[in-house]
Amino acid sequence: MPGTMDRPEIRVEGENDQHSLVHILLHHGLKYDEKPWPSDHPKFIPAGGKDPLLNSMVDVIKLSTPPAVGFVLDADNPMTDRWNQVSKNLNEVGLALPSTPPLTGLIKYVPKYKTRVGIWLMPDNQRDGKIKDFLQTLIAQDDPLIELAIDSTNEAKSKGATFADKDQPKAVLNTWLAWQEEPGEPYGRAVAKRYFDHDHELAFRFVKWFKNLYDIA
Amino acid sequence: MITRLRIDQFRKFGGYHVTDLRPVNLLVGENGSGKTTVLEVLHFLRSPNPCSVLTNQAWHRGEVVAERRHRDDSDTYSQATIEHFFMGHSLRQNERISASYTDGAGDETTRFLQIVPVEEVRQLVEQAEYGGRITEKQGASSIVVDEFTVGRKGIPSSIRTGRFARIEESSEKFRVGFQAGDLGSIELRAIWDALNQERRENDVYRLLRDVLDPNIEDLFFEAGHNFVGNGRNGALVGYTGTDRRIPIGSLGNGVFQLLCLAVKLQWAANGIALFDEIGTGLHWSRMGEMWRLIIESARQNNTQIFATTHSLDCLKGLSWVCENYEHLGQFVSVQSIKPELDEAVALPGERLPFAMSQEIEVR
Repeated sequence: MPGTMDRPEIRVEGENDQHSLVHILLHHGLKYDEKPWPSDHPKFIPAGGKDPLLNSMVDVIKLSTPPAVGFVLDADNPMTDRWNQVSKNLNEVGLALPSTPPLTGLIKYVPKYKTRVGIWLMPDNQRDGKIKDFLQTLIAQDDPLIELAIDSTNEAKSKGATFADKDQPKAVLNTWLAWQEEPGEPYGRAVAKRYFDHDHELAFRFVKWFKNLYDIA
Repeated sequence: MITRLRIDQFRKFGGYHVTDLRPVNLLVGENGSGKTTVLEVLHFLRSPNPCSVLTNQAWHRGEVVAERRHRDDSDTYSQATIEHFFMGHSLRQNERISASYTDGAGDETTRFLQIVPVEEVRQLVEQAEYGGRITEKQGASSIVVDEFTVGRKGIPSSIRTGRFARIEESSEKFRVGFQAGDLGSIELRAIWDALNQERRENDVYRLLRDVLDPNIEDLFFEAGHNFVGNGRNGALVGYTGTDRRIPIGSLGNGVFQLLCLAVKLQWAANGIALFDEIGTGLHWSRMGEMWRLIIESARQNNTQIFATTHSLDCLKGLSWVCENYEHLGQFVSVQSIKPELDEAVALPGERLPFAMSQEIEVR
């Protein structure tokens, strides 16, 4: 779209998701550090939570700027519930979805609104979880600290730590981050500083979905 | 009230629907998307003088050609041309543009403009049975307009003769207020006089006071001016506590723009009001109140309103009203005009505040 400030969109749950994903994309050659960034690069819009993201999905698709609009949201637990919510939304714009999300992320054309829709369920379209699980997957396999972080978190829980069971991945990840070169960095900055393995297969898979959705070479 | 609109072969719209229309409708979209065309179609559909409407629309857009007064004469004059209303910008035999609207009772009314051979029309003119204007362009065509209403039983209620038809004089007192840009002096004074005759000038004052300044007392139009041209000429505003009225042009463009909006809104009671680029010249902080009064006026006066905007401030003002006066959201629809689709994308007023909070680019 030459000569326009308008950009296609990608909607995420929150700002942490936005910053993490932008830095992963930067590490894979996308040009979000240019001003202005290329017109085929979508702008990230944090929805302020999964409920606003789901509630706005239909209107976002109908009013989206071509060629595509994407949504990245946590699968949570169980993933099937989240997928069913997404399916119900996409039915409203005339799309029928498979019963489970594709491994490579969903991309489908919406004829009525002449746009593509993409869905990525964190961490990997296959299992329950959140973006924290996605990032944890990107920790290098030979990293000596992640096992220690898992064991320490479990021990803390057994000794009365008050975080909820569903927040265990968040507690593990933040514990691990507390032991990095700059302790306690937010996820986005941690990604930018290459604490995570950006060349992991899962990162490649996400970037490929992103590029295919928005037709980025 | 118009609930649905269909446009066929009119300017850039091949076959296009606008649905879920409500008492107050804000049309948004890119430059050249066709927002103003939708207003023009509504004007064409509901005016008692559709031929004049189309001619005036052509003039307003500068769609004119230079015609020679006489065959051998170099003296030329400007003549409005209707070819740009047709897709492809050309007139072809039997080409037709049409528009339809559905009202609250479910009845559909269609109006179309069709090119038919000149000779056919001439015969009917001689028989004094015609209704419409004849022009010749490139020796090919004439112009006729046909209107018929299909009731629920599917029976046309007006007469149609072949490809040519009579225009029925509308017996309905129905007004269409169309505002694109400033009102000229003649039109503004004529409307102001009509409102005063109907004792409805106070509704205009109320809008000006509530949106702009509670100290606005009255308006006065001086005699003795050359009234052709700028509507501001001789228009004076009186303020409470002052001994002299002030030219409206001295108060800034927004005041005059709002006056034009207010008079057209009142004049279109029991009809439809069409506003192109509504709110131009108005500060963002006044948009909410402007919309609140427009919606209230639509409800009180049984007026259906269609407006266009590019302005985020204007949209935010409408959203503010829908959020803070929740009972008014049901009377509002935002219509995103995208000619590449088959129909406009409708966003009900109740969902507008959430859409704005989610940074959905409605425009």
